[in-house]
Order: sequence, then structure tokens, then C-alpha cells
Amino acid sequence: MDVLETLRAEFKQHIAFREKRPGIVQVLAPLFHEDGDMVDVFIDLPKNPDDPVRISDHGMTLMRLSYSYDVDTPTKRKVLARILSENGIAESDGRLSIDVAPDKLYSAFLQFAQAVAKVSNMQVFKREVIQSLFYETLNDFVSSTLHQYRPEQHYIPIPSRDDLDVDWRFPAQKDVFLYGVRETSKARLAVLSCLEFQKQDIPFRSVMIHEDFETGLSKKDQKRITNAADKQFTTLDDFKKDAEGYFAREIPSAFPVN
Amino acid sequence: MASFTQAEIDALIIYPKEVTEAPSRSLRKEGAHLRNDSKFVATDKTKGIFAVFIRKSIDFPENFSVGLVYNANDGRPEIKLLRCNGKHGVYNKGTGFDPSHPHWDFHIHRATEEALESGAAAEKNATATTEFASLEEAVQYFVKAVNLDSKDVVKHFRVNSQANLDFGGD
Repeated sequence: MDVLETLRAEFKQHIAFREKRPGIVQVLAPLFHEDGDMVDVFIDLPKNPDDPVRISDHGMTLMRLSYSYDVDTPTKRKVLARILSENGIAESDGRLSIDVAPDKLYSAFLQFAQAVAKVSNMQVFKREVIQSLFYETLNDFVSSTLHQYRPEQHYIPIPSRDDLDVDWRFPAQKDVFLYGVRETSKARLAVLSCLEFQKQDIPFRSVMIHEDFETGLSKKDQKRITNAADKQFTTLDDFKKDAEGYFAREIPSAFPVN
Repeated sequence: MASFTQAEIDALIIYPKEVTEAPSRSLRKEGAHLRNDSKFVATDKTKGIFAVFIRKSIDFPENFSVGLVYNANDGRPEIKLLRCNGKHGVYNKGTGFDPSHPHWDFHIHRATEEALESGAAAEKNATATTEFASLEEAVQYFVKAVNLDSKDVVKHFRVNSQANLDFGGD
């Protein structure tokens, strides 16, 4: 038997079914999560043979993901929605599914398993994708929701020190300098910059927007940035919730006077 | 080199611990599952936070997981140290896959240095267990396995009855 025949035979032999509930069959196939557990795929059998067949995870994918990763921000929800739509998968109250004609079941099964794997890996690529969207999301928010405060990106307060720039400057009697912080090196740069601006007697107030203050920084870095900054938001969601009220208090002149 | 040695992993699991963020009084619905979360710290000088999760499928209540995730807060990635699982299906692909003889056991995933070293998920290896046969029993097994302070067990993880899991305090 050549290798291709072996592969064909392996495909045929490595699938089995088990009734999970009446009308719901679990597919046993060599598809595994990184922790060794089998990927949960179920077939909801149609009442009539010609009706569409539903392939579903019965909520197991998002449950597994939630062990150590929550889809709890607009950015994460956006990424999840994109994975599902790109793979033609529907989501209803935490359950992923796809409805297909019986003769399309095989390809739909593979498509579904692929989507489940991608969703399950959101926790793996969070540092590469989700966190890289942190700055994108912050910038989108600042330039849209806070545009009335005339934000200026990449501002350099000391012309001779272009290595010390500010993510966003909000001009005011006392400027507001805003930094997005998602990891240690950025936190240290923000601290260094603020201390240098203070040394140069530049009038400003600093505000730090953290991707995740609690787990993204060591205790020492948390202390350093807390001592240097005037105001901090521990997550981007917190900032988005309170930013308008904060800026209305800090720069009231930006509002039109009747 | 693995981010945690086997000795560290074993010690992290059994260090005496206490609750710093209490679980809710009851499981909370989220999508198609129920959840409860809490946080522990070690009562010695061990740094970092232990996140504890409890999950139970709504469609298939026999599918549950109770787990301990450690975040050292020192730049190392978080690690799932221990997970007590229900009979959700085949587990432990390391033993090979035979659809004619699937494993449908309650099982325990435990982190190993070997798995980390190979680049796999730390808790890749799992073994069947008879220590528990329900979520309620799994929680009781778990709080003993991770050496949670007995007062905190009584206060936050008591079981009032087989049918009603009460994670409540006063």
C-alpha cells in the first residue's frame, strides 16, 4: 500500500460516532486541543432526512476558551466575529454551529473543526493579534470620540529630544499627555518621558491607558508608573467608559459655551 | 529550558493557599455554560496569583472543568497547573487515538515540565481518576489538592447538597 492509500485508509478508519443525547451525536475524530482533549463536535440529526444538518459545538469551544481567556472587550469580540464570519460559522448564545445540506457534511465538518481550532487559539495569539489591536483601538477611540479636544498624535515636547514623544497631546492651559501602555518597555518609556518633562518644567498632566495594569506589568513597574503618572486607567475598557467625563473635567474649555 | 521546572510546578500546586477574591455564591450563566471564578494566593512568600475557574456546560452538565491557573507576574507566561474534568470525551492524545475504544473517564490534567519543554500545553497529559464523579465532588477534590485553607473551604466552597452547589460565604 502506498502512502496515499495509507492516508486514505487512515481517514476512513479514524472516525466514529457516539450518541450524546437522543438526536445528538458526538463525532470522534483525531482532532485535539493543545491540552490533549478532543475537539467537541456534535451532529444534531435532522428530523427529516433531507433537512439541513446542524454541526455544533454545543457551547464547548467558548467554555474551554473561558478557562483562562475571556472574550470581554469590543476588540476581542471583533476578532471572534471575524473568525466566525470568515469560516461561515454562526454563534447563538455561546454555541457555534453551521447548517448544511447532508451531501455537504464532510467539507462542512472540516470547515467547522478549523473554525473551532482558530477560536480556541485566540488565547495563544492574544499577544500577537489582540494586543496589537490595543493601540489601534485606542487610536481609533481618541481620534473619534475625543476629537473635540483636538488630539495631536506623536507630539514631541522637547524639540531636541525626539526620542521622548507623547502618544497623544491634548492642548490646554496645561496640556494633557496621553500614553497607551501594554507592556513593560512602553511603561518604562512613558515613565522616563514624564520625569524628563517634569525636569524641564513643561506644564502638563499625564494619563496612562493600560492594556492590563494588573497582569501586564511587574509590581515594580506598576509602582514606577503610578509614582510618575497623574492619572491611570487600568484597562482600555475603563478608559473608554470614563474618558469623556474625565476630559470634560480636565479640559472644560473644549465644550462650546452657550 | 521550560519556564517552570517540575519541582516548581508540584510545589505551586500544593503550597498552602487562601482566598483573596471569593467566588460568587452560585454559578453564573455565560453563553452556553455556567461559571464561577476566584483568586487565591500562597500563604508563604510565593509571589503571583492563582486564578481558579469552575465551568459547567449547560447542554451537557457532565462536561465540566475545575482548574488552577498560575500567573507569576514576573514575565513568564501563565500556566494551567491543574484541571479536574468531567466525562466530556476522548482525552490524552499522547496515548494514541482509537475511535473504537474511546476514553470517557473523569480525568485530571496536571502540568508537567516535560510538556512545557516540548512546546506543548503544560497540562497536556491527563490521567483517569475515580476521585470524583460530579462537579461537586471535583470541587471538593480540587480544594484539597491545591491545599486551600480549611476555613476558606468551609466559607467559600461548601456543598450543601449533591444537587445544589453553594460557593457562598455567609
